[in-house]
Amino acid sequence: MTKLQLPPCITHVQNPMVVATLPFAYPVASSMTSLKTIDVSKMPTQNWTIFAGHSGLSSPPTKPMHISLRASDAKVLRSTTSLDVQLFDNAAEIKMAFSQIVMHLTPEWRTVIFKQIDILLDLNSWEEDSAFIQKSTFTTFLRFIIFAKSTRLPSLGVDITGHLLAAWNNDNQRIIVEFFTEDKAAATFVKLGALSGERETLAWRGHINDLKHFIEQNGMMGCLQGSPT
Amino acid sequence: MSKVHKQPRRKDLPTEDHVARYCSPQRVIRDPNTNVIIGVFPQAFKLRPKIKETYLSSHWMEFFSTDIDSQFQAVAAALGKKLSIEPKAAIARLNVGYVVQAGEKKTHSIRIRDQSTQNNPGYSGVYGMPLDNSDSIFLDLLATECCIEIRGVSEMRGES
Repeated sequence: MTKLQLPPCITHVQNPMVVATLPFAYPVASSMTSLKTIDVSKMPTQNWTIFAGHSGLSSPPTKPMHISLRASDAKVLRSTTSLDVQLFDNAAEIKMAFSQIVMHLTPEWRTVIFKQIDILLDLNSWEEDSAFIQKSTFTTFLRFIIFAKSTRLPSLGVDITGHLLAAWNNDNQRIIVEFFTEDKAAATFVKLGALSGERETLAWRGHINDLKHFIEQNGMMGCLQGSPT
Repeated sequence: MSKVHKQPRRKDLPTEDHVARYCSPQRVIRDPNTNVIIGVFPQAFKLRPKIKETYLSSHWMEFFSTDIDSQFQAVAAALGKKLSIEPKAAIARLNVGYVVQAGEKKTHSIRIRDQSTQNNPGYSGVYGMPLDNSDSIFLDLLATECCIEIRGVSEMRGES
């Protein structure tokens, strides 16, 4: 039996709950101590990103460790990785990032966000203009929904650059945000004018902490914190 | 010496007519719970700097028919000859006059011209957009005020 000995610095594979939702049935040991030895003989060839130790949003991992479960195949895989494997890897890393904050959200979030990620990274819908989701922009999105205490589920999209897009709708109000790296974002807002009742369009760009403040100032928190949809 | 044009300049489309814009599945806004299409992201109207796009590709809907259903079908057929259109994608119908007005609001001189060829009937281009996609409000106006209707490709094919 082929066994992989993980380096001592790796204490566990992050969030077994996420692993359980992955398309392939990976044998994952149930107890934390036995995870130091994983049977890889039945695993499909796959590149994995395994993080060392716990890391919350406030202290993201400095650098993920890339470990190939079949080291001998690593070079071949990296040069000829097929699109379906790349999409799988991208979806996996995004879902793992989401799993780090999922405890702050209602259970519907996990179901709906995972479903949307699967749709956005669907091999059967992949086009020339499609883009992988940049994990750093997804992390910015996560920081924003926690900071803004969003309870309303967003509709997700991906820009041609790989930036994560999110849209929130609430009657006559709509917020669309394009998330960048390093907690930056650009947003457009549609709302009705307070006096005229006419539709206004606003644009904003900056740090996500200021984005929440801007939304509050313009009386649009209902888009983010309405009753969960 | 005056510049010699190889082709005569094409006509601008009438303001009461409409153009269709193909929107990739990743730029379609769906209700997070029901998955029903509720809009398109403004990013669906960005020019692609990677291929140095200078105008926004679209199709002149009235070129094909006067009936709206037939127009959508004809646009899908025309697009299908050029690219693989995905069931989760959508086609947005924009009013030409609204697009021109949205440009005026943002001081862009927008023109929508017929670019039909034998191989690409009904093809049209939206000219005058900022090449660096820097005007996010204009892109937003295209996605909201100018969009009259959005239909999913699978819905048009009767798959949903």
